[in-house]
Amino acid sequence: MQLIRLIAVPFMLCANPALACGIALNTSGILAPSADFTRMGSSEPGGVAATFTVSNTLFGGDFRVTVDPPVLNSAPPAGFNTGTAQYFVSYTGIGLLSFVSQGYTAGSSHFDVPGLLGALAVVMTLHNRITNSSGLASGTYQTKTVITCS
Amino acid sequence: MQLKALLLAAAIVGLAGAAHAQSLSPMRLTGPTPSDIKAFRLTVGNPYKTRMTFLIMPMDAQFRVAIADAIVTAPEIRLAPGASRPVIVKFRIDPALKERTIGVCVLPKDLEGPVLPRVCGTYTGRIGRSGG
Repeated sequence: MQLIRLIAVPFMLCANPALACGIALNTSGILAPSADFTRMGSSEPGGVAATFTVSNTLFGGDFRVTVDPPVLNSAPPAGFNTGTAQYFVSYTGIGLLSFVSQGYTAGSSHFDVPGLLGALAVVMTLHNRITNSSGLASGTYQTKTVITCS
Repeated sequence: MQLKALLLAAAIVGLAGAAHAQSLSPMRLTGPTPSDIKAFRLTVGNPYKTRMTFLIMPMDAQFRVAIADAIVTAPEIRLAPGASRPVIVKFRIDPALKERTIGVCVLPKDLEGPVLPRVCGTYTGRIGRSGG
């Protein structure tokens, strides 16, 4: 009984239920223009979605993943009217996060990751879209989306 | 038309197949301090297969703005795959308010690509007689 107690105490001291989450970028996406050149996105024909992994490294606590709308990560091509441009993001989960399905939004959105995710990792699919009623100028567009686990 | 389409296509390249991530533990903590300074010991980890450099940034509690009046012992650390390292975050609390919550975000340095992953936590210090 005493021995069991002595062994149990150090074990309990080590079992700190600290919560940790991870966000991992797996694959980059590709943006492609729409036929009328007013929209560019990874869900247009020729585009490819980005994927990232959400993981909860320990059991016992939920955390929140917040996805901000994308911003241009580099100077836009000459002739691109930034005043009429809008930026959207959408994402979906699979498996344990199959309940996550966010349509295109220009605002921040979030979803909660349950603690039961444990040491598993779930892949999410992410789309970016740029729209511009003035049309798109020829050139390279690069977007960046901030994803925060908190 | 083909050329225009090609010119318009944005190639976001360079990271396919590479996993870039970080972890922060604990992600929420509250503690007392006998003075108007509170410090927390946090652990930053790299649970993935690539050696990476991370930035540890004190932020406001909503993770929107970096705050200048908080100090991190190691604001930039390079971690081997699977490695973790403790950092100390220290900030001042207005004695009139007796409590302050800050955010701390861990993000990869020099990460090119369409996604900037951040892991952020909130840490609250309370001015009180016990603890530190």
